[in-house]
Amino acid sequence: MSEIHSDSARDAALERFARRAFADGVDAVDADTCARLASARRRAVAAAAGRGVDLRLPRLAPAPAWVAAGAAAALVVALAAVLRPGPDAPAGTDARVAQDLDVTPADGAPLEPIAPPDALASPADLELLAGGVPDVLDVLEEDLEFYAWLEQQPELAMDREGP
Amino acid sequence: MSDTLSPSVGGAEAADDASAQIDAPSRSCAQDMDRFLREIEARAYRIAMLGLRNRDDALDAVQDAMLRLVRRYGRRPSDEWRPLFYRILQNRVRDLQRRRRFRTAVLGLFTDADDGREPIDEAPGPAHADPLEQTSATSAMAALEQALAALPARQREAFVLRCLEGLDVAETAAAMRCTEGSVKTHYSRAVHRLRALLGAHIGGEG
Repeated sequence: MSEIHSDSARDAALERFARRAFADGVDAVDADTCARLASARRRAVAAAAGRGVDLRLPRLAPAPAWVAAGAAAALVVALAAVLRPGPDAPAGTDARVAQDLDVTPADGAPLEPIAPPDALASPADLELLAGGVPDVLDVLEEDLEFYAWLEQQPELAMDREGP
Repeated sequence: MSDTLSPSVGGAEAADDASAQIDAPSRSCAQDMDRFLREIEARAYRIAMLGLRNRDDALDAVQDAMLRLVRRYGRRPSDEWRPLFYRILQNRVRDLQRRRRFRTAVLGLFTDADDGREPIDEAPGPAHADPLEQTSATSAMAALEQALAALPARQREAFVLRCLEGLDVAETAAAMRCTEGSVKTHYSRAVHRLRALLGAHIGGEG
Protein backbone atom coordinates (compact mmCIF):
# COMPACT_ATOMS: atom_id res chain seq x y z
CA MET A 1 0.00 0.00 0.00
CA SER A 2 2.74 2.43 0.95
CA GLU A 3 4.54 1.45 -2.24
CA ILE A 4 1.50 2.51 -4.26
CA HIS A 5 1.39 5.81 -2.40
CA SER A 6 5.08 6.27 -2.98
CA ASP A 7 4.69 5.56 -6.70
CA SER A 8 1.80 7.94 -6.92
CA ALA A 9 3.76 10.63 -5.07
CA ARG A 10 6.66 10.22 -7.47
CA ASP A 11 4.29 10.48 -10.44
CA ALA A 12 2.84 13.66 -8.98
CA ALA A 13 6.32 15.07 -8.44
CA LEU A 14 7.25 14.30 -12.03
CA GLU A 15 4.10 16.01 -13.29
CA ARG A 16 4.77 19.10 -11.17
CA PHE A 17 8.34 19.26 -12.40
CA ALA A 18 7.29 18.87 -16.04
CA ARG A 19 4.56 21.53 -15.82
CA ARG A 20 6.88 24.01 -14.17
CA ALA A 21 9.69 23.39 -16.65
CA PHE A 22 7.28 23.68 -19.55
CA ALA A 23 5.82 26.93 -18.21
CA ASP A 24 9.34 28.32 -17.90
CA GLY A 25 10.03 27.24 -21.46
CA VAL A 26 6.88 28.98 -22.71
CA ASP A 27 7.83 32.16 -20.86
CA ALA A 28 11.28 32.02 -22.46
CA VAL A 29 10.03 32.08 -26.05
CA ASP A 30 11.88 34.96 -27.71
CA ALA A 31 10.26 38.11 -29.03
CA ASP A 32 10.87 37.32 -32.69
CA THR A 33 9.15 33.96 -32.38
CA CYS A 34 6.27 35.58 -30.50
CA ALA A 35 5.90 38.12 -33.33
CA ARG A 36 5.78 35.37 -35.90
CA LEU A 37 3.22 33.43 -33.93
CA ALA A 38 1.08 36.55 -33.62
CA SER A 39 1.36 37.08 -37.36
CA ALA A 40 0.19 33.54 -38.01
CA ARG A 41 -2.72 34.06 -35.63
CA ARG A 42 -3.77 37.28 -37.36
CA ARG A 43 -3.82 35.53 -40.72
CA ALA A 44 -5.90 32.71 -39.31
CA VAL A 45 -8.38 35.06 -37.62
CA ALA A 46 -8.69 37.16 -40.75
CA ALA A 47 -9.40 33.96 -42.64
CA ALA A 48 -12.12 33.14 -40.12
CA ALA A 49 -13.84 36.36 -41.08
CA GLY A 50 -13.59 35.54 -44.77
CA ARG A 51 -11.41 38.46 -45.69
CA GLY A 52 -9.92 36.73 -48.69
CA VAL A 53 -6.64 35.98 -47.04
CA ASP A 54 -4.40 33.72 -49.07
CA LEU A 55 -4.85 30.39 -47.35
CA ARG A 56 -2.35 28.48 -49.38
CA LEU A 57 -0.22 26.75 -46.85
CA PRO A 58 3.52 26.56 -47.16
CA ARG A 59 4.75 23.19 -48.18
CA LEU A 60 8.09 21.54 -48.05
CA ALA A 61 9.40 21.20 -51.57
CA PRO A 62 8.45 17.77 -52.86
CA ALA A 63 11.30 15.36 -53.30
CA PRO A 64 12.67 15.40 -56.85
CA ALA A 65 11.44 12.55 -59.04
CA TRP A 66 14.89 10.96 -59.25
CA VAL A 67 15.10 10.85 -55.47
CA ALA A 68 11.73 9.13 -55.22
CA ALA A 69 12.61 6.68 -57.96
CA GLY A 70 15.97 5.90 -56.37
CA ALA A 71 14.43 5.41 -52.96
CA ALA A 72 11.73 3.13 -54.28
CA ALA A 73 14.25 1.06 -56.25
CA ALA A 74 16.53 0.78 -53.23
CA LEU A 75 13.59 -0.24 -51.08
CA VAL A 76 12.61 -2.98 -53.54
CA VAL A 77 16.18 -4.31 -53.69
CA ALA A 78 16.50 -4.23 -49.91
CA LEU A 79 13.19 -6.01 -49.43
CA ALA A 80 14.11 -8.63 -52.01
CA ALA A 81 17.42 -9.24 -50.27
CA VAL A 82 15.78 -9.58 -46.89
CA LEU A 83 12.77 -11.63 -47.88
CA ARG A 84 14.32 -14.04 -50.42
CA PRO A 85 15.27 -17.32 -48.73
CA GLY A 86 18.96 -18.07 -49.00
CA PRO A 87 20.39 -21.28 -50.45
CA ASP A 88 20.81 -22.72 -46.97
CA ALA A 89 17.28 -22.00 -45.91
CA PRO A 90 15.73 -25.21 -44.67
CA ALA A 91 12.61 -26.41 -46.39
CA GLY A 92 9.49 -26.83 -44.35
CA THR A 93 10.57 -24.56 -41.53
CA ASP A 94 7.08 -24.46 -40.10
CA ALA A 95 7.00 -28.23 -39.87
CA ARG A 96 10.39 -28.39 -38.16
CA VAL A 97 9.40 -25.78 -35.66
CA ALA A 98 6.22 -27.69 -35.01
CA GLN A 99 8.20 -30.87 -34.44
CA ASP A 100 10.51 -29.08 -32.02
CA LEU A 101 7.49 -27.86 -30.16
CA ASP A 102 5.92 -31.29 -30.29
CA VAL A 103 2.76 -30.08 -31.95
CA THR A 104 2.93 -32.25 -35.10
CA PRO A 105 -0.49 -33.67 -35.87
CA ALA A 106 -0.81 -37.27 -34.78
CA ASP A 107 -2.04 -38.35 -38.19
CA GLY A 108 1.11 -37.03 -39.84
CA ALA A 109 -0.85 -34.73 -42.12
CA PRO A 110 1.20 -31.88 -43.63
CA LEU A 111 1.06 -28.71 -41.65
CA GLU A 112 -0.58 -25.63 -42.97
CA PRO A 113 1.65 -22.57 -42.91
CA ILE A 114 1.43 -20.97 -39.49
CA ALA A 115 0.40 -17.61 -40.88
CA PRO A 116 0.52 -15.74 -44.16
CA PRO A 117 3.40 -13.28 -44.47
CA ASP A 118 1.18 -10.23 -44.18
CA ALA A 119 -0.07 -11.38 -40.81
CA LEU A 120 3.04 -9.77 -39.31
CA ALA A 121 1.14 -6.52 -39.30
CA SER A 122 -1.30 -7.75 -36.66
CA PRO A 123 -1.01 -6.32 -33.15
CA ALA A 124 -0.46 -9.79 -31.69
CA ASP A 125 2.54 -10.39 -33.92
CA LEU A 126 3.90 -6.96 -33.15
CA GLU A 127 3.79 -7.84 -29.49
CA LEU A 128 5.67 -11.06 -30.23
CA LEU A 129 8.28 -9.17 -32.23
CA ALA A 130 8.64 -6.63 -29.47
CA GLY A 131 9.29 -9.37 -26.96
CA GLY A 132 6.97 -7.74 -24.49
CA VAL A 133 9.06 -4.59 -24.25
CA PRO A 134 6.60 -1.67 -24.44
CA ASP A 135 8.93 0.84 -26.06
CA VAL A 136 9.92 -1.61 -28.78
CA LEU A 137 6.25 -2.20 -29.50
CA ASP A 138 5.68 1.54 -29.85
CA VAL A 139 8.64 1.87 -32.19
CA LEU A 140 7.38 -1.01 -34.35
CA GLU A 141 3.98 0.66 -34.54
CA GLU A 142 5.67 3.90 -35.57
CA ASP A 143 7.55 2.04 -38.30
CA LEU A 144 4.34 0.55 -39.65
CA GLU A 145 2.65 3.94 -39.57
CA PHE A 146 5.64 5.45 -41.37
CA TYR A 147 5.50 2.91 -44.21
CA ALA A 148 1.73 3.27 -44.48
CA TRP A 149 2.20 7.04 -44.69
CA LEU A 150 4.98 6.66 -47.26
CA GLU A 151 2.70 4.59 -49.46
CA GLN A 152 0.11 7.35 -49.44
CA GLN A 153 2.43 10.15 -50.53
CA PRO A 154 1.61 10.94 -54.15
CA GLU A 155 4.78 12.91 -54.71
CA LEU A 156 6.87 9.89 -53.78
CA ALA A 157 5.03 7.44 -56.03
CA MET A 158 6.93 5.66 -58.80
CA ASP A 159 4.27 6.15 -61.46
CA ARG A 160 4.26 9.88 -61.10
CA GLU A 161 4.05 11.75 -64.37
CA GLY A 162 7.17 13.60 -65.35
CA PRO A 163 7.37 17.38 -65.58
CA MET B 1 13.57 26.91 -45.70
CA SER B 2 11.45 29.86 -46.61
CA ASP B 3 10.19 32.16 -43.98
CA THR B 4 6.62 30.98 -43.89
CA LEU B 5 5.64 33.23 -41.03
CA SER B 6 6.54 36.50 -42.55
CA PRO B 7 6.23 39.64 -40.46
CA SER B 8 2.72 40.94 -40.33
CA VAL B 9 1.38 43.39 -42.83
CA GLY B 10 1.20 46.85 -41.34
CA GLY B 11 3.20 46.12 -38.22
CA ALA B 12 2.60 43.78 -35.35
CA GLU B 13 1.62 46.39 -32.80
CA ALA B 14 -1.03 48.11 -34.87
CA ALA B 15 -2.76 44.93 -35.91
CA ASP B 16 -2.27 42.74 -32.89
CA ASP B 17 -5.97 42.50 -32.18
CA ALA B 18 -6.95 41.11 -35.55
CA SER B 19 -10.58 40.78 -34.64
CA ALA B 20 -10.83 44.57 -34.58
CA GLN B 21 -10.50 44.61 -38.38
CA ILE B 22 -13.32 42.21 -39.06
CA ASP B 23 -16.82 42.78 -40.38
CA ALA B 24 -19.70 42.59 -37.92
CA PRO B 25 -21.31 39.21 -38.79
CA SER B 26 -18.12 37.27 -38.18
CA ARG B 27 -16.79 39.49 -35.49
CA SER B 28 -17.85 37.45 -32.49
CA CYS B 29 -16.54 34.21 -33.89
CA ALA B 30 -13.30 35.88 -34.92
CA GLN B 31 -12.87 37.40 -31.48
CA ASP B 32 -13.34 34.01 -29.88
CA MET B 33 -10.89 32.45 -32.29
CA ASP B 34 -8.38 35.24 -31.73
CA ARG B 35 -8.64 34.79 -27.97
CA PHE B 36 -8.27 31.04 -28.24
CA LEU B 37 -5.27 31.15 -30.55
CA ARG B 38 -3.60 33.91 -28.53
CA GLU B 39 -3.95 31.78 -25.41
CA ILE B 40 -2.35 28.70 -26.91
CA GLU B 41 0.10 29.94 -29.52
CA ALA B 42 3.26 29.98 -27.40
CA ARG B 43 2.38 26.69 -25.75
CA ALA B 44 1.63 25.15 -29.14
CA TYR B 45 4.98 26.33 -30.43
CA ARG B 46 6.77 24.76 -27.48
CA ILE B 47 4.87 21.52 -27.99
CA ALA B 48 5.76 21.49 -31.67
CA MET B 49 9.38 22.12 -30.69
CA LEU B 50 9.32 19.09 -28.43
CA GLY B 51 8.46 16.90 -31.40
CA LEU B 52 10.48 18.62 -34.10
CA ARG B 53 13.40 20.31 -32.32
CA ASN B 54 13.65 22.82 -35.12
CA ARG B 55 12.35 26.35 -34.87
CA ASP B 56 11.25 26.87 -38.48
CA ASP B 57 9.53 23.51 -38.65
CA ALA B 58 7.76 24.20 -35.36
CA LEU B 59 6.56 27.59 -36.58
CA ASP B 60 5.36 26.02 -39.83
CA ALA B 61 3.45 23.38 -37.91
CA VAL B 62 1.73 25.90 -35.64
CA GLN B 63 0.78 28.20 -38.51
CA ASP B 64 -0.55 25.27 -40.47
CA ALA B 65 -2.58 24.05 -37.51
CA MET B 66 -4.07 27.53 -36.96
CA LEU B 67 -5.13 27.91 -40.57
CA ARG B 68 -6.54 24.41 -40.80
CA LEU B 69 -8.48 24.84 -37.58
CA VAL B 70 -10.06 28.02 -38.89
CA ARG B 71 -10.75 26.67 -42.34
CA ARG B 72 -12.21 23.33 -41.28
CA TYR B 73 -13.54 23.75 -37.78
CA GLY B 74 -14.04 27.48 -37.25
CA ARG B 75 -17.82 27.01 -37.06
CA ARG B 76 -17.66 24.20 -34.54
CA PRO B 77 -18.40 25.02 -30.88
CA SER B 78 -15.42 26.72 -29.31
CA ASP B 79 -15.07 24.09 -26.60
CA GLU B 80 -14.12 21.61 -29.32
CA TRP B 81 -11.32 23.77 -30.69
CA ARG B 82 -8.60 22.72 -28.31
CA PRO B 83 -8.59 18.95 -28.99
CA LEU B 84 -9.15 19.64 -32.69
CA PHE B 85 -6.26 22.08 -32.79
CA TYR B 86 -3.93 19.64 -31.08
CA ARG B 87 -5.03 16.82 -33.34
CA ILE B 88 -4.13 18.95 -36.36
CA LEU B 89 -0.87 20.03 -34.76
CA GLN B 90 0.15 16.48 -33.86
CA ASN B 91 -0.69 15.31 -37.38
CA ARG B 92 1.44 18.08 -38.84
CA VAL B 93 4.31 17.32 -36.48
CA ARG B 94 4.11 13.64 -37.39
CA ASP B 95 4.00 14.49 -41.07
CA LEU B 96 7.12 16.64 -40.79
CA GLN B 97 8.89 13.96 -38.76
CA ARG B 98 8.12 11.37 -41.46
CA ARG B 99 9.26 13.63 -44.26
CA ARG B 100 12.46 14.26 -42.36
CA ARG B 101 12.92 10.54 -41.79
CA PHE B 102 12.31 9.80 -45.47
CA ARG B 103 14.79 12.42 -46.56
CA THR B 104 17.39 11.18 -44.13
CA ALA B 105 16.93 7.64 -45.40
CA VAL B 106 17.10 8.67 -49.03
CA LEU B 107 20.10 10.93 -48.55
CA GLY B 108 21.78 8.10 -46.67
CA LEU B 109 21.60 5.98 -49.82
CA PHE B 110 23.57 8.53 -51.77
CA THR B 111 26.02 9.61 -49.09
CA ASP B 112 29.47 8.13 -48.78
CA ALA B 113 29.42 6.12 -45.57
CA ASP B 114 33.07 6.99 -44.93
CA ASP B 115 32.80 10.73 -45.23
CA GLY B 116 33.61 11.06 -41.57
CA ARG B 117 30.34 12.71 -40.53
CA GLU B 118 28.20 11.18 -37.86
CA PRO B 119 24.40 11.23 -38.14
CA ILE B 120 24.24 13.08 -34.84
CA ASP B 121 26.12 15.95 -36.47
CA GLU B 122 23.28 16.35 -38.97
CA ALA B 123 20.55 16.39 -36.35
CA PRO B 124 19.00 19.71 -35.44
CA GLY B 125 20.09 21.21 -32.16
CA PRO B 126 18.16 20.70 -29.00
CA ALA B 127 16.52 24.07 -29.18
CA HIS B 128 16.35 27.39 -30.95
CA ALA B 129 19.78 28.90 -31.23
CA ASP B 130 18.90 32.36 -29.98
CA PRO B 131 21.41 33.06 -27.19
CA LEU B 132 18.95 35.08 -25.14
CA GLU B 133 16.41 32.29 -25.18
CA GLN B 134 19.06 29.71 -24.43
CA THR B 135 20.26 31.71 -21.50
CA SER B 136 16.83 32.28 -20.04
CA ALA B 137 15.54 28.78 -20.63
CA THR B 138 16.06 26.75 -17.54
CA SER B 139 18.09 23.61 -17.38
CA ALA B 140 14.87 21.96 -16.26
CA MET B 141 13.26 22.66 -19.63
CA ALA B 142 16.34 21.40 -21.43
CA ALA B 143 16.27 18.22 -19.38
CA LEU B 144 12.56 17.78 -20.05
CA GLU B 145 13.07 18.29 -23.79
CA GLN B 146 15.85 15.76 -23.84
CA ALA B 147 13.87 13.19 -21.87
CA LEU B 148 10.76 13.63 -24.02
CA ALA B 149 12.87 13.24 -27.15
CA ALA B 150 13.89 9.81 -25.90
CA LEU B 151 10.28 8.60 -25.78
CA PRO B 152 8.41 6.93 -28.63
CA ALA B 153 6.18 9.44 -30.38
CA ARG B 154 2.86 8.18 -29.02
CA GLN B 155 4.10 8.22 -25.43
CA ARG B 156 5.45 11.73 -25.91
CA GLU B 157 2.15 12.92 -27.39
CA ALA B 158 0.12 11.40 -24.58
CA PHE B 159 2.32 12.97 -21.91
CA VAL B 160 2.45 16.38 -23.56
CA LEU B 161 -1.29 16.59 -24.13
CA ARG B 162 -2.35 15.16 -20.78
CA CYS B 163 0.22 16.61 -18.44
CA LEU B 164 1.55 19.75 -20.10
CA GLU B 165 -1.52 20.91 -22.00
CA GLY B 166 -4.01 19.65 -19.46
CA LEU B 167 -6.35 17.81 -21.81
CA ASP B 168 -8.47 15.14 -20.16
CA VAL B 169 -8.34 11.53 -21.28
CA ALA B 170 -11.24 11.85 -23.71
CA GLU B 171 -9.83 15.02 -25.29
CA THR B 172 -6.39 13.45 -25.56
CA ALA B 173 -7.89 10.38 -27.21
CA ALA B 174 -9.68 12.63 -29.69
CA ALA B 175 -6.49 14.55 -30.40
CA MET B 176 -4.43 11.37 -30.81
CA ARG B 177 -7.18 9.51 -32.69
CA CYS B 178 -6.97 6.51 -30.44
CA THR B 179 -8.98 4.95 -27.63
CA GLU B 180 -9.01 6.26 -24.09
CA GLY B 181 -7.42 2.99 -23.02
CA SER B 182 -4.50 3.59 -25.38
CA VAL B 183 -4.05 7.08 -23.95
CA LYS B 184 -3.85 5.67 -20.44
CA THR B 185 -1.35 3.02 -21.52
CA HIS B 186 0.87 5.46 -23.39
CA TYR B 187 0.69 7.96 -20.56
CA SER B 188 1.55 5.40 -17.92
CA ARG B 189 4.55 4.17 -19.91
CA ALA B 190 5.68 7.73 -20.51
CA VAL B 191 5.51 8.60 -16.82
CA HIS B 192 7.38 5.46 -15.89
CA ARG B 193 10.13 6.19 -18.39
CA LEU B 194 10.36 9.88 -17.57
CA ARG B 195 10.66 9.15 -13.89
CA ALA B 196 13.72 7.07 -14.68
CA LEU B 197 15.17 9.67 -17.05
CA LEU B 198 14.50 12.70 -14.87
CA GLY B 199 15.02 11.19 -11.47
CA ALA B 200 17.83 13.52 -10.52
CA HIS B 201 15.79 16.59 -11.48
CA ILE B 202 12.61 15.66 -9.66
CA GLY B 203 14.32 14.55 -6.49
CA GLY B 204 13.62 17.87 -4.86
CA GLU B 205 10.00 18.06 -5.96
CA GLY B 206 7.10 17.58 -3.65
